[in-house]
Amino acid sequence: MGTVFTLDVRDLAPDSEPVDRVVEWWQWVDATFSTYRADSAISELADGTRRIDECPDEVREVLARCRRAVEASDGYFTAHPHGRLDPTGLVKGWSVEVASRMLRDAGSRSHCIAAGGDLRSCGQPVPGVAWRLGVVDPFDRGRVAAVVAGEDMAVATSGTAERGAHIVDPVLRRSPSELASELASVTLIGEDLTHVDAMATAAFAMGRRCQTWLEAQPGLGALVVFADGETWSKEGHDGPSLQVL
Amino acid sequence: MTTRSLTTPSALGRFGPALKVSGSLLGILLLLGAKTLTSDPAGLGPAVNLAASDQGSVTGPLITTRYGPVQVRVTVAGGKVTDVQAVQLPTGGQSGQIADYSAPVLRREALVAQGAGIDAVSGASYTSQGYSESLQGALDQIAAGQSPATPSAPSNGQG
Repeated sequence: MGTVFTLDVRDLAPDSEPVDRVVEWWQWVDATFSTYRADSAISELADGTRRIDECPDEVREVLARCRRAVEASDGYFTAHPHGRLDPTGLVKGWSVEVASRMLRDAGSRSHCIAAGGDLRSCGQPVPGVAWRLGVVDPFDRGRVAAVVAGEDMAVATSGTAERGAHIVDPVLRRSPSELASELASVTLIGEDLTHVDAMATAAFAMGRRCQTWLEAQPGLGALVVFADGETWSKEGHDGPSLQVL
Repeated sequence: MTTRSLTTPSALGRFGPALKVSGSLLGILLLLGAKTLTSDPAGLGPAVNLAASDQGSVTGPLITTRYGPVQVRVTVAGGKVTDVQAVQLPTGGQSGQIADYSAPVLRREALVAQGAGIDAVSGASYTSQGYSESLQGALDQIAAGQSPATPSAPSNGQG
């Protein structure tokens, strides 16, 4: 399995230098952070064959962001989901956030990036029109459960539909299948995909009580689909509109 | 394996008026945080470079995954991937455990068909070993100059 990164840039040509730079960036991220490549900096760091000061600056940046995510989520985000260093839960969103910044720095004001179902939009797809980002119904994956409309948005979904029950609960140590018996998917909406992606994973790890935690996060919009099919949603403060269908 | 494909905006236009603009759509498959099941441990083979004269549709190899068979059909015009369709996809499975092998294009098509007017989808899984392997196989065939093939397997896609 792999993760497909999709770049939808409306105001830059396919062969433009910024687009090429983003592709090179993701290839570098893959080579540096993949936990399934024995020679990546992350693998060697986890193996103890490389010291943190021998790693690229970006590795220290990611680990610092992981520590902040742990604090922000009351410990429900973890960079050691299986007892071994694995910051993947944050790297994907972070690498997309950096890619979006690279495109914005190159002048793009109209793009949407997807990475394994997590999204970061910028500006407008066409002048005067908002991006419309769908959230898949975890029980009927050909159907949209909700639509998020806005301009600069980060949307991330954690759930069991993609890879089965795989998210671990680092606090109460509940099993992935126990979490899956409470939740089908958690979709979060915010501005920074690094934060939103990590918090979506953390919220799923909380199980049903993620609703209480999310109510105390004014900056995040949310759509929670419970395992029994019930849904709960809220819009973030000054956030994009969320229409549950 | 890295699949890098550029899709022409015009090909996307048929999915909605909002997409009829200049720009680029690009997909790249990375192994980031995902276990590779291929015999290629490094996982990153050369990307396929399509010639401008490459065109037609090719059905990729049938890939057997833990979730079932996966096969995709790729359409190329002017050296660009213009469409990807699933010929065979795994079906069924336990609720919440269904592997999603639908191509982004298929997904977009299905979603637009229900009138939602969606630009992109969160929660859709674009992670699929079988999907990417079959896609890669089809692109390799096109790059090798094989004549377009016709899919013989019935379509049972869930997209």
